[in-house]
Amino acid sequence: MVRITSSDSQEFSVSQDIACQSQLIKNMIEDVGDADEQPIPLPNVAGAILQKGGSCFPSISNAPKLTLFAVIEYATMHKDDPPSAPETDAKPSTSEDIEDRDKQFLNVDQGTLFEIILAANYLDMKSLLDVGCKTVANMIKGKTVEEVRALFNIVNDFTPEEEEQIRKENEWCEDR
Amino acid sequence: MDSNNTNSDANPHSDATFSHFPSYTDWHSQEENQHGTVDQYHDALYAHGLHLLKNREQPGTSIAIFKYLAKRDHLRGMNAYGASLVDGDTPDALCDPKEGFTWVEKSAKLGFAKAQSNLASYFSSGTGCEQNGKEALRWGYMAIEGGYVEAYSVIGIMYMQGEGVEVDHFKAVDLFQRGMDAGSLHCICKLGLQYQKGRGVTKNAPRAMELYEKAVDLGDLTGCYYLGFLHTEGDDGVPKDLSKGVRNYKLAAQAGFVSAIRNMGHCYEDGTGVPQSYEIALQYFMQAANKEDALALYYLGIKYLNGTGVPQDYSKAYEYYERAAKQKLKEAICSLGFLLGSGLGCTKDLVRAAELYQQAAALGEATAAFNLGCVFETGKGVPVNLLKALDYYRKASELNYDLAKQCLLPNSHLTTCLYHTGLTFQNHGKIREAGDYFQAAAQLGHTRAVAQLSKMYADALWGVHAVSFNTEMRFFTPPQAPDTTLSILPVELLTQIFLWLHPKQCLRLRRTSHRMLAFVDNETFARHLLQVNIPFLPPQVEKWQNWFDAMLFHGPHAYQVAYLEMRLNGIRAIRGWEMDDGSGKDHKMKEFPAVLVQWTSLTCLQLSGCRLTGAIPESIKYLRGLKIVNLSYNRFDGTQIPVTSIMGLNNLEVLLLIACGLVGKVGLEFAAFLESLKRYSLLKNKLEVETNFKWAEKK
Repeated sequence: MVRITSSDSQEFSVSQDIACQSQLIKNMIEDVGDADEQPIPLPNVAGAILQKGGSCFPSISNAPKLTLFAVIEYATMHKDDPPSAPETDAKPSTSEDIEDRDKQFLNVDQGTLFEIILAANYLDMKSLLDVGCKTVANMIKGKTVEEVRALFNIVNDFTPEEEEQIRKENEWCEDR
Repeated sequence: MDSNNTNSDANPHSDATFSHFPSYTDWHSQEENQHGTVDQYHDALYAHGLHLLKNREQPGTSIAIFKYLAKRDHLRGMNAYGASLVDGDTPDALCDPKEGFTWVEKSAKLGFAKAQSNLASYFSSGTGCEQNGKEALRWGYMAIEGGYVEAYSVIGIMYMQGEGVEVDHFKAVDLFQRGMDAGSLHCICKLGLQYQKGRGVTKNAPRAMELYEKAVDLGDLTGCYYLGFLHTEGDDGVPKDLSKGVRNYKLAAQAGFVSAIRNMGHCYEDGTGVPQSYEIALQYFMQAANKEDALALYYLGIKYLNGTGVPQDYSKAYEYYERAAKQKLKEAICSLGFLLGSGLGCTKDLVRAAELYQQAAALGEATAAFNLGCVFETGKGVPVNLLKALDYYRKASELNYDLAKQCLLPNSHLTTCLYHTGLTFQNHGKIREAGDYFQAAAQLGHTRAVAQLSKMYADALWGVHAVSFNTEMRFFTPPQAPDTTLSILPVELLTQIFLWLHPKQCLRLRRTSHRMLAFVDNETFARHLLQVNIPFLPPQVEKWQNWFDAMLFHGPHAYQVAYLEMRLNGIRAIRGWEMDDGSGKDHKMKEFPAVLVQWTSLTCLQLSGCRLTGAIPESIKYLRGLKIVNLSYNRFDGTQIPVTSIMGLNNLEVLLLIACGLVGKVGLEFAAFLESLKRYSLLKNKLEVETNFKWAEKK
């Protein structure tokens, strides 16, 4: 078992094969050795705030904030996956290639989704990072600029003149 | 009994007989009363009335006695008669608080302390008069001065419940304590209650129990009810003891406390401390219902509606709900609305159902608010009004009603309807209404409504609509930004996300914000993006080929460079891009892609008919590998051929510059150069030609 502490000082006990899906933790264990049973501190990952009783990820917007717990849950789900095959040039994957269980897992509010992506990036978990990014990409696909702004709360910081200028520049690639 | 009084009203000495009680004449003729005065007779009669009232015998007679006495200025009689009228505790449920109030007031003004205390309680609750805390306090303290100690509890309750005064539990406790010390019975239970709840005094359940028991010992059976509650629920320091609890409830119920009767019903229904029995429970509920207890009536309504323990009977359910609703019980009002709305046990009446829902919702009933939302969404009994429906769903959702929350999701029926109503208004030019509906839909997370709204906002800013939006229009305000969102992700993660998108989508997002623009236009990202996408383009998809070719001319600099790097490393020719994409749209003309000159290994440059403007750049001289140059049918209007640059192209074999609007002189030297080519044409330009040169073309 590996003990992990989150930035908000919550401690998790995780079995080694699950924890080692994170390249970061794997490296740390190799460096430190698990002899001294010290919890591994993860300064950049917030711990779980468990929803009362049962499911941790209801698909409603006030779901708990991201969470090391979520990441661990993902790792547990995927612990029996075969090691990822080396990249082949044959057929590129598209952002639609997401397993159903992953889709379910990432059906969370935006804040949580981005926190999961940040955590996956920090923990160096390629597969989780990939599905996370694909999910966001799918959210963007087929949307107009206005819709993307609204979806992600992006403030339009162009002056009307600048916007007009870019609109002209972009005219050739707008769909009609 | 009325006839007894009517003919005896005028004469105080006239004979009136009440059951088991002699008339004055008969009374006076009795031996022991030979010296009795009329007053003594009245007192005796009053005592008889009280006896009847207390034992619940012949309720009609007792009130008739009090009325008889009240009309003869008997103070206690006046008070008792008034109080009976106020409570409606009469056989034919004659209830007249106003009339009762005047009798009690009369008695109080004549100095009867108990009446003063009653008056205080009427003033505090506003029974038969306007609520008036000051008057209530005045009469209450007057009653205490007059020696009526129960008035302490009246004032104490005012402070405990905040009737006509600010809630002040410390004052309440003080009053109850003083009342108890002075010998008030009612104060004991109330003080116990304050101890049990820890209001105005440190919570102390065992002390509360002692007080309740003391009250019971002294004959106040309210204590039994409180004890029943305390024992069935248990509290700090008082262990749960169901049998004790039920025993006390039973005592209180026998004494006629309605809440206790109802709770006995619950005990039997749930089998708490007694053997479970629907029949006995029903009897208790019925008993409480006969006293018009709102909650008991409501439970009975539920029982008959669902057929639990009784045969299902909608009309009975309706009857009970209606009686409970009369007492302003919000749950009952809502249920009554439901029965009316679905025509169960009554004639269907959607309009009245909607009214009842409205009443119950105003009292804070979540189900009613949700139902009202449905009513407004579907227009049952009211005109359809989606915005009102939204308001009521919101209200229900605030009260934690789950179904209402589902109606507020982005993909709910309501959200879709709001959006489409907005569209309809927009199509009819009703911008303000459209805005209201789009806004409502947008607040629920409908993305297309958000887009419509921002478009409308932009239009308004640019004065497209004559309607003034200005400040009145409440525009969609984005929900509180989550802590982490796309716009603050580090660049490396943005890259990972955007690499899943088609370059076309990425380039469109340049318009989103400054940060996005800088990110998308970044050269490293551009190179990355094209590398991911281009090798996998199905070669047969001409459309995309054209699109990428267009990017070469019109795209941001970074993409021109990246594209050229990729395409031209292997391929040594650039095919002209057909500007007419079939849309009939006249593309803005672009200058000669300056970036091309970075491609020194290029051998073939075919850009005819590309509607290029500007001039052919001098820097073309760097493309030393060029063999074929075809720039015909472009609009380099009024510019010169970069003669020296072109003459520097040692490998050039073909030069076609037909109909390019070029001007200037073609010197002999250039003419000689042209002649050395395998093929050239400069037809349809405005070139001046040196003499001796046979200006033409070479095929």
